[in-house]
Amino acid sequence: MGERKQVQQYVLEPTTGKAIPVMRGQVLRIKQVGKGQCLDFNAFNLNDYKEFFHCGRTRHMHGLNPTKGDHLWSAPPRDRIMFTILEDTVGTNDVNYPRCSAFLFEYQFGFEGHPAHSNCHDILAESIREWGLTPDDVHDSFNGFMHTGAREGKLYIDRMVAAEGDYIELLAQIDTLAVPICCGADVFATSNYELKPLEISVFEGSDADHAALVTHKYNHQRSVEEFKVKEIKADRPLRRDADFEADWPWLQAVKARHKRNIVLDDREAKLLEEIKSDPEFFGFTEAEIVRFCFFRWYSSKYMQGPKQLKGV
Amino acid sequence: MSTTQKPSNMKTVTVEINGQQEQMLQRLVANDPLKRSAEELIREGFLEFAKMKRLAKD
Repeated sequence: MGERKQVQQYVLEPTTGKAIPVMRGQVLRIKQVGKGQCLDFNAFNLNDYKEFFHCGRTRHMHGLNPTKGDHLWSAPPRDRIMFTILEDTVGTNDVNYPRCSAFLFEYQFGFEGHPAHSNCHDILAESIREWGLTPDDVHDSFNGFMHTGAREGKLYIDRMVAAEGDYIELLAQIDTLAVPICCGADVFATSNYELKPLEISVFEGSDADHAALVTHKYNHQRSVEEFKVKEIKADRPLRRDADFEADWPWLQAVKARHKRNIVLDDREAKLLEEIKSDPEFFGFTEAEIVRFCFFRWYSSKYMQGPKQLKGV
Repeated sequence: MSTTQKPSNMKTVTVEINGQQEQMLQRLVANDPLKRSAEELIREGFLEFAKMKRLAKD
């Protein structure tokens, strides 16, 4: 990745975190200095905190365990790449589990006293307080080094496999407030039941790093300028706008109906008969089956991005 | 949506789509290198996917 100039370095003590500006083109490295510690990571657009990292979009794009070459995305309707994972020496990251919270340790383990059991939500909240943000601004984390998977429809946490020296490097694609913290969970297997520090470094990206910067913008990656309400509410109670009139610009097209006559020869009609007996199509008309098959074919052939087709 | 049986062992299936889907279909037609019609593309998609499903079952 060429020569990089180090800008900042911190060692986060166990169960602590730090909110750090990481500008577009800079590289954030999170490195193991012990025998494997889970990272929880939040991120905000430095110039508009209402744009923040989104596990759901990231999971949609890259699956349950994003790794080198994948991106960390912001929430809809912004839908922008906030970071690109340039390096990942372990390959076990998670975007499925929500951050742990004081409630979770009370509910699941009986930690009802004060102070609360160390937990990622409170560590993240305390870290972003330096920048005037509140506990409500914490969001689900990119869980770095967290070894998870899914089996028979259920998520599981496996033992931490990262070792001393392992690291993840994130290239900032926009100016961000990055919030790396050391996960506070010591009664889950996330950090092998021992809380440890993490080393955080920020580098000026090299020319090779900058080659991975994204320049393309899609029409529907929305910005505040396109919002009908541009101001951020400054008070807490919700009040109805008496003048509100809903505007659904797509509704006309959704309600429109277009008919297409599809002619099938004898062999194709027999195939349709055969497919009708598939339990997946129980209750479908023949026309609904043809439509369903066409759109599944279209998705597998032409859709951009992840393909999550079942049953093929 | 409906189905009609033709005497020559041909079957016509009438597929109904909405305006958004129609837009997508028209883009597909406009960009199809083989210059197929919308109906031909729907038929092609049905056959390709149906064959994949049948193979997956075998």
